Amino acid sequence: MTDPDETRRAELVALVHADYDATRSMIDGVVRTSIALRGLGVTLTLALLGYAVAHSSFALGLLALASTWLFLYLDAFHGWLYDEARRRARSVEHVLRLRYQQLERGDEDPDARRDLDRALAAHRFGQYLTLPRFRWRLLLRARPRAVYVLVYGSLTGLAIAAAAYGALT
Amino acid sequence: MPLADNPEILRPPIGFAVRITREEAIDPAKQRERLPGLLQFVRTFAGKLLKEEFGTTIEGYPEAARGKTDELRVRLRDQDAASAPARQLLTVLSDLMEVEIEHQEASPENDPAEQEDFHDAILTFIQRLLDRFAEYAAATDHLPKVGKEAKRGGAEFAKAAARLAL
Repeated sequence: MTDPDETRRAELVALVHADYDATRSMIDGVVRTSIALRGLGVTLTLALLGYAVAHSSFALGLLALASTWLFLYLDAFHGWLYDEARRRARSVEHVLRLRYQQLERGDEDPDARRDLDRALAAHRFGQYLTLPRFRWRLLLRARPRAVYVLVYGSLTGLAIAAAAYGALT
Repeated sequence: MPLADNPEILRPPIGFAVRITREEAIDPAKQRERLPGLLQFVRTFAGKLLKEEFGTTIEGYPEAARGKTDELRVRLRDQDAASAPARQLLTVLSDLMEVEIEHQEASPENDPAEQEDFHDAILTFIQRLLDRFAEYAAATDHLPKVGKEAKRGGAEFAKAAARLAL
C-alpha cells in the first residue's frame, strides 16, 4: 500500500522541482541580458570617449561619464536579480538535496525524513512571488562585484580624464 | 586498534555547551559566532574515529573525507543489521563534512542569511553527532565511558542549542 505521507511528499518535491526550473530560467535570462548590456555599454562608452578625445570635447566626455553610470545601473540591477536568483537556487537545491538524502540513506538517517518535511514546510513557493521589491540599496548586493569595479571603474576614470582633457584644450 | 575509552575526546563540544548553559547572561549572537570553531573538533574526531574504529585513513578534508565516509557507510550496508548505529553515525559525520565544504564554497562576503544557516547547521549536526555517537558507543563493548559522556553531552548541547536559537 502507498504511504499517503510519502505521496504528498513526492508531490511537494515535484513542485519544488518546478520552482527550481523557474529559477534556472531566470538565472539564464539575467546572465544573458547582463552580458549583452555590458558589451553594449562598453562599446558605446568607448566610442564616445574616442570621439571626445579626438574632438577635445568636454561635453562628449561628460556624456561618456553619464553613459558609464547608466550602464552601471542597468548592469547592477541585473546583478542584483542574479544574486536573488542564486540565493533562491541554493535554497531550492537544499530542499532537493534533503530529498536525495532521504531516498539514498533510508533508515541510516533517522532524521532525514523530518529534515525534509521541515524544509518543505518552510519552502516559499514561487520565484517571482518571493522576489523582494527593488530598492536602491539592494544594488550593493549585485554580483560579480569585481567586474563592476574593474569595468565601470576604468570607464569612469577614462571618462573623467577625457572630460578634463576636453575642458583644458 | 579501537578508539580509547577516554571521554576527553568529546571535551570541545561538551565544554562549549556547558559554558553556554551555565552562564547566567549570554549574548546568543556572539556565542553563535564561536560555533565554526567546533568544526575543528569534528575534523579531529572524524579522523580518529574513522581510523581507529573503521580502519579508514582520511587524507584530504573535507572533500575526500566525505567521499570516504560515504563509501564506508555503503560498505557497512553489506554487513549485518548490527552495523546500523555505525552507519547512522557516519551519515552525520558526512553531513558535517558537507557543511564545511559548503562554507568554503559560499560567497566570500559575509551574508547574514548564509551565516545563520551555517550556524544552525553546526548546532543541529553536532547535537546529532553526540546523540548518535552515544548510540554507537552503547552498541560496542569497549566505549562505556565515552558513550556515557556523549549521552550527557547530547543533553547539554540540546539545552545550549535552545539558548542559542535566535
